Amino acid sequence: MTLSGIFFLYFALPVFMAVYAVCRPHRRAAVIAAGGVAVCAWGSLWGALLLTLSAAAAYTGGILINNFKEKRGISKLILTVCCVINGIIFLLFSRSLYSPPDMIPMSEKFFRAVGASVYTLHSISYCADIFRGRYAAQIRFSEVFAFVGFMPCLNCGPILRYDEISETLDAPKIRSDLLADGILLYLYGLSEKIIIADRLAALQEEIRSMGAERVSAPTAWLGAAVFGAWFCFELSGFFHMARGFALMLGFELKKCYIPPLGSYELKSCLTGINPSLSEWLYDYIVLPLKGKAVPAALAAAVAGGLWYGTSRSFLVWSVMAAAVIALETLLKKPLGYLPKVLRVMLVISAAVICGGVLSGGSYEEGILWLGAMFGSNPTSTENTTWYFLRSYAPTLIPAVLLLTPLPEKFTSRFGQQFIPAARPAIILALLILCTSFMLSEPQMAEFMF
Amino acid sequence: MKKIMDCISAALFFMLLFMFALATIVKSDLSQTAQKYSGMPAARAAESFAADNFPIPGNWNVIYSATAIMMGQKTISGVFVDKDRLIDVITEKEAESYTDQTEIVNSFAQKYPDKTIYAMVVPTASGIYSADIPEFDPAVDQQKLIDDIYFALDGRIITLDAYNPLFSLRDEYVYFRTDSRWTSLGAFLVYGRVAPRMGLEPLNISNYDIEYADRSFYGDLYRKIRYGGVKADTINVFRNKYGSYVTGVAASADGQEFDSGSVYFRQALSQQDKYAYFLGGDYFEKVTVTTSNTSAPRLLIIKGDYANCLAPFLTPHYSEITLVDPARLDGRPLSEIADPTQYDQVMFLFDAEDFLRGEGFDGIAK
Repeated sequence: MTLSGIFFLYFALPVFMAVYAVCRPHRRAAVIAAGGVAVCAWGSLWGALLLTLSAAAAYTGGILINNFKEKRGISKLILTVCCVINGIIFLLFSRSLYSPPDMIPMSEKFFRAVGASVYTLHSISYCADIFRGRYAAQIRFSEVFAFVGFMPCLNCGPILRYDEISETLDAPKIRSDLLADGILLYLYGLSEKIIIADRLAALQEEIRSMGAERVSAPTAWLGAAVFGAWFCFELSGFFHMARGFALMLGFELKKCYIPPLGSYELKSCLTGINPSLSEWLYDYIVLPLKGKAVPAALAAAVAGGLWYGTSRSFLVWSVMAAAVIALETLLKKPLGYLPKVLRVMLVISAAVICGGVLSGGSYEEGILWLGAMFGSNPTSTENTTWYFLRSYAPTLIPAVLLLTPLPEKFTSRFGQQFIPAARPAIILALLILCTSFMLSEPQMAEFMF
Repeated sequence: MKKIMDCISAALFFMLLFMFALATIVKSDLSQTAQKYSGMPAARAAESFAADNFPIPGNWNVIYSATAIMMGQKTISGVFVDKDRLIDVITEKEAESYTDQTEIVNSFAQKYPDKTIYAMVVPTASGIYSADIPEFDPAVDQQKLIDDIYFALDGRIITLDAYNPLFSLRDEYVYFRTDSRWTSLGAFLVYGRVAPRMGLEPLNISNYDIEYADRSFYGDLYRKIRYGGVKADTINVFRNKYGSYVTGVAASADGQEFDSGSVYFRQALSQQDKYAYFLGGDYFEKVTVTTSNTSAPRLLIIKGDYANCLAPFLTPHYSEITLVDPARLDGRPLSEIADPTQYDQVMFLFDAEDFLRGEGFDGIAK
């Protein structure tokens, strides 16, 4: 069940909210947990079992680690067991729909478990934080289950920390202001996903349909740039929907998306589009390997790439990005002398080049696409770049604007004056528009893990 | 004030969700629902149920198409939206599958060696206006495709060229703007060019009065994507100035018989698919047109939709024309519907898309 589907919006959401509203606040964690099970079971009944296994590992592991906190060896072993269980679930059952899971050929034999990329990371972070003494283990299973399988985040994230929601999880309250904000944020995310991201996906598909062997260098660059923009909107759309849904339930999640255009460094550009994943990678991969900078960075890059998809193209993409970030760190001083505009352009170019390897879909096509960007098809006579730019200008111009921090600055300055009064009209307009798109074209949720 | 607006927003949102969800359930035929979605995984069935039964589907489509086109999208559900027409694009991938069909036509020719057999594969608008379709959209070269199909046919089958007459007059109103089929004018122009090859002397345009039967025809492509940015079509009818040769039309579908005195079914103009004006469109499995030219030969047309527009022009030359749609044979052999031995000539008349689809061709082979 995807947050961007007609069934979720018109059937699952109202039913879930009705059940949630009539339950007493201290029982709502159990309702969220049940919702998580339903989302996972929607793809396959075995998916619900995997979520239960992951939650049980977190719950049992958390209590045991807590009980053996004085005996670091035993608690470390328990943490390792918890990580191994979740790691296996992640590697075998988690995959995005974007590219074939060719990294771990064995995983193709298994079904795709919805939410496995998210709840495994929740489970690991919960045990690791207890191990580090960040908080004590929770004894109510429903609360741990609700955190691990936090229903709004199961599609694509953001990745949460237990202490981010634990206070609310005790007895979540539905508040009219949060409910109204949540509805608007959910619909905004939905429109980002199905109106903008899917339009960019259609454009990218048209560009890709020309074939990596035939495409000219300018069109190949355009294809990679469009892929990058689509990738950002796909993530941002799901994150906003998740945050909006969580707000409806009474949870205020922290901001989980920073527009990438305008960054002076590739690192901040990439971490900005998925800060919750970056923080997770830093806390649970880089920090434990402190003092070993290169292995830590490589491990984080590989894990980050695998999170988006267990395919070779994502692996190459993440390693390329890590290499550029390492170069950036080395050249920090000289780069600092460059004009800001030039630095932004360099970051965009680097991001597009890295994205080139993903633009082809499969690994082989991706490599060819990357080659095409650097003129491997010198005899190509196709000249559609201008055509695409001209035709899709009504999508590309607002998309580029939305990828900059400008809209956010605008809404933070003027939004408070206009949005509350116009909210019912905006909700109505977005609902009509989103419904028409959901009903009229097949839903593409490539990064619904 | 803010609190009131918040409450209004939330109430409005959930009220709309509830209203549409309820309307979806009420609209659906629950007794048929279980049957329709049986065999599907429950999750998929629930999602399909919601999408299939959602109220006012056409209106959502109108909003979607207008917005998507405004945002620069050119192709919606496989339909290319050109400046002034909708084009159903035949892709290179679709064009790979004609061997089975040509083999069936060849075996038919071998089975009836004494019959004169014609084959006409008419290009669709995507073949004639391919220059308007951007390079990235892999529309197949239909001239080459039709040549390849003709090349694969038995040497004794007389092939009729519809591509060149349509291409040379592509600026005329030869294809509907909102429908995947050709107009009467397109059919007439092709008739004028192929008739001599069939040994017929075509009637000149001066023999006809052109009547505008309908000026607000929105065809199947419009109904598919509901994009209102293209002008409505007109249905033109060529009426013989000196009186019609047609003496009767008998049609059958699903065991029921229908009679008419004309090849033009006026009642179809009040239906959704106004193309049914031409011999009922694709509704009938068999249509028999008898004419006053009783000494002329009998023709059997094994056909796709395009034949309905062309058949009226052939009526002066034949005593009887029978049109059989193989797509409606439902597994029955062709001979059960119309025995080819009873006819002097047989014509296979399909547009490129119908021919590639080859729906019901198995029935021709039986």
